[in-house]
Amino acid sequence: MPRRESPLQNEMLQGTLDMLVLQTLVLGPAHGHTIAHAIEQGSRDVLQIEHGSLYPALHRLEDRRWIASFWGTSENNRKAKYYRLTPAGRMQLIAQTTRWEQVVEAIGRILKPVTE
Amino acid sequence: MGISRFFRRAQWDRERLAEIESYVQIEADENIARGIRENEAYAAARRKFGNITLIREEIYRINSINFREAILTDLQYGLRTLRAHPTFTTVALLTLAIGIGANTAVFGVVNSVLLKPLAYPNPDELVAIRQVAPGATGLANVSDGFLLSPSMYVTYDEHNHSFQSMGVWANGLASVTGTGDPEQVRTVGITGGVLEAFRVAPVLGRWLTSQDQVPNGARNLVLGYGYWQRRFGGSQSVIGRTVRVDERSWQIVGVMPRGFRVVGADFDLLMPFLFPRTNLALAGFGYRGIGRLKPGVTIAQANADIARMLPLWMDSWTNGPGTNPHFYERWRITPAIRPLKTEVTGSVGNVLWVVMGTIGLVMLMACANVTNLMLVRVGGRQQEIAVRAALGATSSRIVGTLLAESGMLGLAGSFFGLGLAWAGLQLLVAIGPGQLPRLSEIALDSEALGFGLLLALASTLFLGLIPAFKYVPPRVAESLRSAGRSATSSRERHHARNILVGAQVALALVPSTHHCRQRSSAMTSKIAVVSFALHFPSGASSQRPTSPRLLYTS
Repeated sequence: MPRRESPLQNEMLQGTLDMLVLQTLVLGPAHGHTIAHAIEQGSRDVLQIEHGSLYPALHRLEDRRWIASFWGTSENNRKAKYYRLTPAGRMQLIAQTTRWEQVVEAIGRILKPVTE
Repeated sequence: MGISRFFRRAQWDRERLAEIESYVQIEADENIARGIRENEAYAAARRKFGNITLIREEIYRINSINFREAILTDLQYGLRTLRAHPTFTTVALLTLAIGIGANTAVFGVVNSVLLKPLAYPNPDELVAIRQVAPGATGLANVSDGFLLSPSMYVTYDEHNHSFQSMGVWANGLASVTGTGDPEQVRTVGITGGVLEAFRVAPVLGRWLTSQDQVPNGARNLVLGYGYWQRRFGGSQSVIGRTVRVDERSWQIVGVMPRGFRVVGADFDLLMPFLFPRTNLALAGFGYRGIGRLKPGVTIAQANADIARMLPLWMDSWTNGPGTNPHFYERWRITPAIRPLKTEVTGSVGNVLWVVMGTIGLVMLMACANVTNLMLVRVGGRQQEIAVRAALGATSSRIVGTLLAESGMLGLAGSFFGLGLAWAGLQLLVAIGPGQLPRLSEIALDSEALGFGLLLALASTLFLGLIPAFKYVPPRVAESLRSAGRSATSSRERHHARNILVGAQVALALVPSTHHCRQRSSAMTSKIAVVSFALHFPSGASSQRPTSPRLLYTS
């Protein structure tokens, strides 16, 4: 069965989104809506994500036990599902961030001579 | 996690839907706060979220594809390998089918005979009123207990505090003449209280009670279901008709339902005992007692109750002038009441459990055999497994492949096995060994089927996991290196098989020793007396009875 491409299915971006979600949760538990807005605003709206695409990512992260969820009440009294970082998720975030920095640095090193 | 996520899909979907709903709510709230009208606020929130169905499908796929695909390919691959080795498959299937079939059949018997409650209402209250008389000489068969006399019945019935109802019964034979061919039929004689204790309603008419027990009164009897069908064609108008039994006219007042037996005894006619309740002798110990305990009364209390009434019995009756009624004190008559189920199953229980254990060992042997075959097969496929591992198959995938193969063997084996079990039980019931109580209740019911499937599952795990433990994770380099060369197997490879063979020899000895023991005990007890009984009522038709009955006692 061929897989349909969905937004952010692209592997590079998918890994990145996972990392961003984990990073957002470092500050404390949050529900999907907050996470989506935090990523958008944190990137000063450079990263425009379709908010729905966040949910498969959340599901996948929970499935891997990097985040855990619980039902709570939102700021304006709506029932909402909150996510928090698990210890395994924290480790994963450190690993991914390190890897990301290495990649960025490597790419940067290659790109530098061209721009100069 | 694979399987659990597959089964939790629906629940997860509901949860995600609730979550998405909550997102839309929160976003819409914010839109409204920004001054957008309500309808538009919700529409905008949905737009921002994207395609809800698409997102749900995405999550659904995350949870399904890997698992289902893996199982499907494993099953297809297993089927191919099984088909490619027809000899192995046939032998393994036959072994498993016979093992599972035999075990299911024996379990069916054990379950129907020993485990299931008797087919009477509240069977736990029913007891056999037995006595033992260690001091009696010659008269009382010790193993069978000391039977009750009519005077004992009357005393116990009138003075006990333990029973809701009680009575005595005995089986016998009688000749039916008059309509059609003369026939010898099986009868069970009962006193009032017996049917009240069983509490099984008649299909037609009424029970026999102590009202029918009057000497020289109206003679009433009740038909057994089988006889009613056979002799009267199940006619509804049978009540009130008369039959001639042993040269006397009896009126039919009821019909008992199909399958009803008095303890273990099947019968054609249920007839009341016509002994009087006064002027009885002490002696005449030939009747089996049955009673229904009052709620909360224990067997020990009932025993004490009977023990209390024994002196009363000796005071109340006599064996004639000049005899000492307290003579029986020397016999040390002691009540030994036991649950009716124990009375029905008798000593068959021990034998059946031994057979069950033996056949269980046979099952273990069958599993060991097939596992041995599997080990050889998987051993030969080590290179293939190594290649798959080298190409990136995880250990769990390789184990999955092995389990899929053994699972199909187990499933197909149990399918044939259950067929065998069904046929075996039909045969058993058709042969109808006399020593086996509750024969008519034996069937391959849902419990036996469940047992068979459980066996199939256990054998599947056994067959699949033992080779898996041995060859997974595969030693890739070693297997691939030896692929080209040596055809002889390493000593280590033989190790598991040696253990299996050793276990099999050990197991094989158990059933055969049991068999020897059975045979030798059968040899000593086979000295039997065969007697031949034909009863011709004088003045009856000159025709011979059509079904003379052979009796034999051992």
